[in-house]
Amino acid sequence: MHHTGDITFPVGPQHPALKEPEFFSFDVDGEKVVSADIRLGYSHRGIEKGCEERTYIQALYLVERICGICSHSHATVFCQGVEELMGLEVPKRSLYIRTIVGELERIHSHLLWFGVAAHEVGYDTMFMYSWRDREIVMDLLELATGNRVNYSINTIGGVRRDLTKDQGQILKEGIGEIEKKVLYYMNVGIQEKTFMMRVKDVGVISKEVTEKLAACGPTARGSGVPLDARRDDPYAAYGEIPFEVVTSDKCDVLGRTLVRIGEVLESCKIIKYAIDNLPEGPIAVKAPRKVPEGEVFARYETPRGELVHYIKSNGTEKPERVKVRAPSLGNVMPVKYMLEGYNIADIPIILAAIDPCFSCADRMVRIEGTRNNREMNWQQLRAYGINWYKNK
Amino acid sequence: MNEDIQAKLGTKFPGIIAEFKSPRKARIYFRLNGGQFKDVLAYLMKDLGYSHLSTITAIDNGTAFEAVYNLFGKNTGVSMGVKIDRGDPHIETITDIVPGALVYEREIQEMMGIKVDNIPDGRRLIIPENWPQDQYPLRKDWNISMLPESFNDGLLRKWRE
Repeated sequence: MHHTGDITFPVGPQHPALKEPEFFSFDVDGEKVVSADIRLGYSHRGIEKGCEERTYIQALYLVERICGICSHSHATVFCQGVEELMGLEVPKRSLYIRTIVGELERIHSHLLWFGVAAHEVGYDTMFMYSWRDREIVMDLLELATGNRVNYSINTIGGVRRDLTKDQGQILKEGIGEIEKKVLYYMNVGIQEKTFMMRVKDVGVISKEVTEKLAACGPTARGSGVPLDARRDDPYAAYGEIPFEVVTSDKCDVLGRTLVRIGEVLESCKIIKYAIDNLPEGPIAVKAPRKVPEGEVFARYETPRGELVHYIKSNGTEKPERVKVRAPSLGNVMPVKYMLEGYNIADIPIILAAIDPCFSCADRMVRIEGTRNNREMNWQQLRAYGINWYKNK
Repeated sequence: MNEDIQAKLGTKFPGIIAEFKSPRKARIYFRLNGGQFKDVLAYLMKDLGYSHLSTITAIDNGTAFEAVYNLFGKNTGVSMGVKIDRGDPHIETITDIVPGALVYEREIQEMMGIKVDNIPDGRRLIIPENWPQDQYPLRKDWNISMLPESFNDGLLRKWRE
């Protein structure tokens, strides 16, 4: 498995592309990466173990905090799993609202990713554009759920907040705006020659290898593997909403970029359709505290790919086991493969192209409070900082 | 639902398919009673078309371990449970069938302490290098007070203060 390059050079635990910690070690031969190795675990927080010690509704808020970007994904898949175990009939209106928030989240995540990817190849104009336009969707999320991140709209048995007609109208207007901007990226931004030169034929992974390494999400779809839980395993309202699964057979970073941009446009269509066809009725049903004994394999398509929660219940009000498999963990093996054979300068963009989220991939072991926990306000914090440097 | 799959598995592997459940069309759950689990897995993935490995879940119910192989294909999710003896927990690697299983196997090995036989790369992936060798945080009988006082420069002591 391991080739030996002339030099092994370590990268991390500061991420070379995103603002999250993990450790890489690259064996290089001159400028070429001969082999890559990844070490995770720097943001493990003990969430799986923590879920076993909490009631289902408490665990819901904990899993929502696994990731700051796909927080709605984790909460929805957990609710779906628990509702299936309880045998709850969830009102249709709440399923549509979950879908709308889920797609807004996808747009937000893909625009964030697009900005980061552009930045990694030195295309900062695009980074500014895409992050500016991401603010539109952040505002829409705040309008629909009350929060910019960790939306907390889910509860076991439905959603916690209804969507009014007026809100629906504002959402549709905002989505129209995003659609225009994204079409512009597609027709102008991505066609830019210098961008093309950095992403075309970089980080190539064939369809066969992608399947063997069990990749998921845009990483798989960018290599022509049409895995998408929304279509293959419909949940929420996806069974009733028409949409296309975007794939690309380019197998490189460009392919993954095209998939994500195409998905933003599909998400816009889904949101508009869901708002126009929002069923009337209640938004939640009452859920029992105890969950009958059983097991459930719940799946969800997050912006980064397939998310799995495997929940085992034992008849009490606390779960026996909650296993979380976030998409980034599934894409660790493929990214190792993709890096081999490319230049050191390509490392950031290849890593960024799987849109890794290591707080998702890491969940379990970090002991809270590595220093004495203290609460302080801004002034106290500032004074503490000044003092610390004075006494140094 | 999915009786045809149950029948196919029953014919191919007589006597070892237990607790077959299919609460809805898109889900199948069953456990194995002995037998070669890798043959069943290869049959599910290669012949029956459940070709995507979603994850491997290790479960500790206090008296025994179980490894649940979560597969997906043909619009159906399949969960196959394999019992593991708690006294001497080990299971054969499946990386020869799906190379992508390596990260999940490394995970169950260090988090649950189920040794994976013939794993191509058994180094730690997630938990720190200085974590005690014989402690597995996802086991039911593990709790944080079992960490030695000296761990991470007396981290626990500081934390309790």
